[in-house]
Amino acid sequence: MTAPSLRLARPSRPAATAALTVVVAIVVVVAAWHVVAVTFFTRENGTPGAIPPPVAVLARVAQNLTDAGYWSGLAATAGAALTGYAIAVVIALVLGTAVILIPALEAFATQLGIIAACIPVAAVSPIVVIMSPSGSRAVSVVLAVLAVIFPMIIGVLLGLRAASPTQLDLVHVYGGTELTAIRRVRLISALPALLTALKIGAPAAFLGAMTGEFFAVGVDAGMGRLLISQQYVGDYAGMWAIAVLAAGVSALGYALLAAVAAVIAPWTRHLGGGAR
Amino acid sequence: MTRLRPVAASVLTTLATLVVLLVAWQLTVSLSHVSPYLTKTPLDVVDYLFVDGRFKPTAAADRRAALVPMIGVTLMHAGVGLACGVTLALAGSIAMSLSRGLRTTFLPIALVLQTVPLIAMAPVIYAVFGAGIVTAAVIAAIVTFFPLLMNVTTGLASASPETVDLVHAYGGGRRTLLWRVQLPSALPFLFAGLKIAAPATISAATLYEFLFSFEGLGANLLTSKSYSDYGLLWTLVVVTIALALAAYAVVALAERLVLSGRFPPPSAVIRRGAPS
Repeated sequence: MTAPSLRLARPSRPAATAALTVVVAIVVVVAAWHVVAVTFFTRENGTPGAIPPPVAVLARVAQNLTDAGYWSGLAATAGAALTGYAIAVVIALVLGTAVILIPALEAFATQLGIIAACIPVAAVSPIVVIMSPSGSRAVSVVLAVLAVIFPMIIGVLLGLRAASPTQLDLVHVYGGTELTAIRRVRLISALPALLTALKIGAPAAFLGAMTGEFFAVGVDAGMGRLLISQQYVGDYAGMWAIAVLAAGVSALGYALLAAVAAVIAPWTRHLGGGAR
Repeated sequence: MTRLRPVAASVLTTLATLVVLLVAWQLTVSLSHVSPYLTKTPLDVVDYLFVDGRFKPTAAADRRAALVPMIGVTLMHAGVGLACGVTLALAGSIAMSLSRGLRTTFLPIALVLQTVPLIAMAPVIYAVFGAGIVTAAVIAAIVTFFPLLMNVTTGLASASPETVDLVHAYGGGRRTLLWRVQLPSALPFLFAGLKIAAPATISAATLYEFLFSFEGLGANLLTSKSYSDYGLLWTLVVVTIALALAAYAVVALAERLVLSGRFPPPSAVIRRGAPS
């Protein structure tokens, strides 16, 4: 992700200075947020409006974290997200295996991923809702699958291509079978791309599951439902707090997978990729 | 002619993939015992669009005519959002490429901001900008802005040091460097970003319409479901997905035509991120 800097650029400043700039910038942004919130978005009775001040949002986040209702909502949404995530990973791995066996399928697998990534959520959700019973979290699961499947397929395909022909030849020259080649070379070289895809997929799955709750019928627990109920009563600090919590959960999922990746494949540690 | 051959090949793969998906959809519905009242097949959608009598209103031409304004509204929402997002992202990337301070300060903030789930902020955007094209454009612009900003910033920094030196050796200034070297070398990255952004704006526009509006494809997906007009619902699903795929196809085609022959094989940077 980090781009090679142009040669004309001055030599990079020490990391400490760079970190300090970022901290200062964040302070400036938060201060500007506070001023805008207090100046333009305070209601006549003094409560925060559409853009509440940062302190109010943080206080609300802290308050939510002590509320059992939020934890059960979080668990409900995360459960649907995990189901969708697992399904997407399985589909991507099955497609990957099919591509190893029949290489001609690769273009098909890529197209499938692109189509899944293009499908608008508002189009697919109503048909999932009419075809699933009331109270089902199927929409959340399907949206999580759609959000994860594209990065996963691309990750698997990149991983398959990562093995160098020389290494594979070496295995065959020494009399290794195709199975040995897969075990000793292909799997190892596929790990970096696979792990990156797994990391990127985690926040996407949570976001997809949350979006699904806006469409689901008869589902009354979850981060999305909490957001909708706060929207009805115009509780903006609560809505911002949910946005912060959702971003936090997504980041946590990403960090968890990054930690696992660092343990099982330490050489992939430098591979980044933000979340969305 | 050589320029068009890869285009023809990829068009064929895409069509083949779509045919496989449509056949799978048709077979799943015909062979399973789902309700034919709720579930429509591709053939039903063709009937809805072109055969008189089976659905209401009776004349297929009337049904097609009703679809046109919905598509128009959605295209306008998406188009305005895409235009705003692209303009802002280009301006931001160029500013960050000119000033190292801006880049080290705001790139990390942009990375953090894009983890905030759009679905959580949509109600806040709605509260600030109200109902109308502005809110639709803001939501569509946000999903365009981040993938483009990241890609174009990487692209502007990707100029090879040799070409940068060449411009300096001939006495070229910062503007010459930007115009002659950096922008052309950012083109492949721009297209990679657009391939994500274009279908994502269709998705964002329909999501906005679904949540907050009474016009456009997104809103009609909701109302046709409430009125149990399942023929219209499934047709709208097909139309919406087709629009998103068309948006992708237009960008992919433009990429082939603009980049072929001018650059080495398009170093397609696959930016993660699904429409959300």
